[in-house]
Amino acid sequence: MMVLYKELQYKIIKNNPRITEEDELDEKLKKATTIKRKITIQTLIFSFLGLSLASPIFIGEDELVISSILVTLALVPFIFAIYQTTIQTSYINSLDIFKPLESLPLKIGSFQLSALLSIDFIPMLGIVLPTGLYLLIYYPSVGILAFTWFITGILFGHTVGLLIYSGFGARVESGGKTIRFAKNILKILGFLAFMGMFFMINYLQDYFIAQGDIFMRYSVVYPFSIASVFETLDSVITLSAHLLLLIPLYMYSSRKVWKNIIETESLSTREVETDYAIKTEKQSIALVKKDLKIIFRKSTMIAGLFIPLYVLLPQVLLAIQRGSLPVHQTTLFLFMVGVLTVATSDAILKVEGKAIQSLRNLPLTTEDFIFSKALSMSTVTILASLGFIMLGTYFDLVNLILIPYTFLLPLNASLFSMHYLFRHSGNNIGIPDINFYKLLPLLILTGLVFMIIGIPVLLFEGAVGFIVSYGLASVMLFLFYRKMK
Amino acid sequence: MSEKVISVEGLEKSYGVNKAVDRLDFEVNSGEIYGLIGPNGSGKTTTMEILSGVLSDFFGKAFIDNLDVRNEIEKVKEKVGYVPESPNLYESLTPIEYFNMVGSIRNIDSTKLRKRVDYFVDAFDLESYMNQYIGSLSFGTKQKVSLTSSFIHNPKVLILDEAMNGLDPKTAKILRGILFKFKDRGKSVIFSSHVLQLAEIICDRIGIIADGKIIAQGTIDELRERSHEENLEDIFLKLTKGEEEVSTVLRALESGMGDDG
Repeated sequence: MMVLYKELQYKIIKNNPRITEEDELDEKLKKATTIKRKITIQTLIFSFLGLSLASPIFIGEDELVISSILVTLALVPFIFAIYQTTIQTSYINSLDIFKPLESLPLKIGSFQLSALLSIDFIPMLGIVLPTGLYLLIYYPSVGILAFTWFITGILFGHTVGLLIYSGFGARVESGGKTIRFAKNILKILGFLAFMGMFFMINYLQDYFIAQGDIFMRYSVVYPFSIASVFETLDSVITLSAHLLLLIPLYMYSSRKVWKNIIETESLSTREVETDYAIKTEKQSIALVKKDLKIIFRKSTMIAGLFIPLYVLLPQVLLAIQRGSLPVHQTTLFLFMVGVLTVATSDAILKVEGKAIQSLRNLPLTTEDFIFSKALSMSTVTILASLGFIMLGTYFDLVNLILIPYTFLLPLNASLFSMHYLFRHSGNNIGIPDINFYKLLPLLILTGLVFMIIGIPVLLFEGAVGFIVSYGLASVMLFLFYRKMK
Repeated sequence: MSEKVISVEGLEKSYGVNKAVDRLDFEVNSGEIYGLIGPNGSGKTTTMEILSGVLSDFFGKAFIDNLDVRNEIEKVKEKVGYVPESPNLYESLTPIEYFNMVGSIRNIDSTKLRKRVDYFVDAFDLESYMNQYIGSLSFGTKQKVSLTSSFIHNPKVLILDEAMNGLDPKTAKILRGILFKFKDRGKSVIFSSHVLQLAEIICDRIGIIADGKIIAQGTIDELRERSHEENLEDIFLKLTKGEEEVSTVLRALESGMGDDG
């Protein structure tokens, strides 16, 4: 496992445009492969975050408060494990990390994948560490149970991630153009439905509670099931049921993923199409199209690109349920989705894999490459914001006033992100070493940029506030663009 | 009259303590195919990566068509077609999508691109693969895609690093023909290969590189004269002092393969 981890870090660092000197590479590699140091630092960062999230627990000792906070916390490692498994597996595979293992008599090599990913999963437990420790001290059995649930949540998320990887996007689709397009659309819809399922559980739970069914006092499905920790026996039974289901599912998905890894990409079975269309376009457009094509064909990457939609989904459901979407709420939502554009950078940069080398011998400047990445990043959030404005307009026509935000916010976020991530890059086109943890400070900084853009709306009433805010956002966008070019 | 198109003076590149290229000097003229041959790890790939603008961090001077490789990197890349040792292509794109992307980045207009793509697709028999994902193609076909993408901007200089790898004999012969055509049009080619017989056939001049240094260069006749050997393989082994090593290893092998069999 250490060999694979070292190899992965080596390839990531090699692709990093910041590293140009071999001495620097050695030093960076040494640092990157010190697993204990990495895990400790990241766990500490997440513990601080977990401390702030769990503060209500320390104030009051209400079991209901603790249970509901546990549910919220449990969602974090679960979602993180799904995200990390889908995105990172695609990336690891694209870097050919497992190639040397393919010829070895390994029954399920993807256990190695799980072990590799666990290095990223463990620090995520930091977010639940303060709560877990508090419970261990004051309610020891509850504390042990909560920790076991959190670990189960990671296994659950990881298994779901593996299933998504093997089911949705380990291979590129075969078939004619129309069939391929239809398959890709189906995969995206399927993926969204799959993610939406977890939001639906919430509604189902409310429904069953309303029915007064004694067995549905709490949902039996993770993460809601963690609320049962104070009823130890019930919780242990539910947990055991989860594990009974999860372990075989994990084994199955692991086997499937490994099979996908060792087999070549999809071999076309359709009739040979010999016609081809030649079409050249602007550099940046060609690069954006390339990014989106790869992401939509290897749809595990969609998990990363569609992250802002996880925020959109409950908001849409809420708006439909309430039958109203006032301007202030739409504005708040547009800012949230705008900030989350940052999260798409991980997937957008990782689509390159080892093929980044083919770009290095083309007359493409680092600035042009970065600019195209910024455009690719903002595509989904621009479309999502536009869609949300359309929904808002259905309820209240005034929402139309917010249209400029749909472009200005995602583009500001993406250009700012690219400046931040490539701040030390030289002439070489490459991919900076980024991960979920490194995106946290970027999210905070982008939040600050958005605060500046949003201040006029709070200071001036009505349209004036928005006009000043649009002006400010446009000036910032221009400055980011100028600095890039 | 031929002009100097590639010029390398005192080129140096280190990876940590290892010097991959050590004060390298050579020139390539227009209408010339220059073979760079040397043992594994001798610095061929590093030299080619520097000349094609892939590696920008080096010491010494390198010029392509009077353009400074260090300071005019984008202009150099416009003039050069580089085929790396192994094709690192976007596996979920089809060859035509890849060519369209490369054409767009290289700012080639659609009519010219169509003409050039058609030419190489026909030459390399790629037609039936144009709409298949690159990831599903064989290594040899990927190499053909890589070759085509490096030729479509009609480069003034071609840099081919083991470009014959994975090609079937028919395609290898076609590639040879294409290289001769390039040469006839006054273009320059740097070519590296482990197949010494091939280098002997196609190269006008050969530079033998060992430990990052050119230890001998000239036409094949000049090298023969200097080493008193007939074919390039013997010349190569003699100049790189590989003969002794080969004999020692063969003697050791005679005493057993290190197993019981």
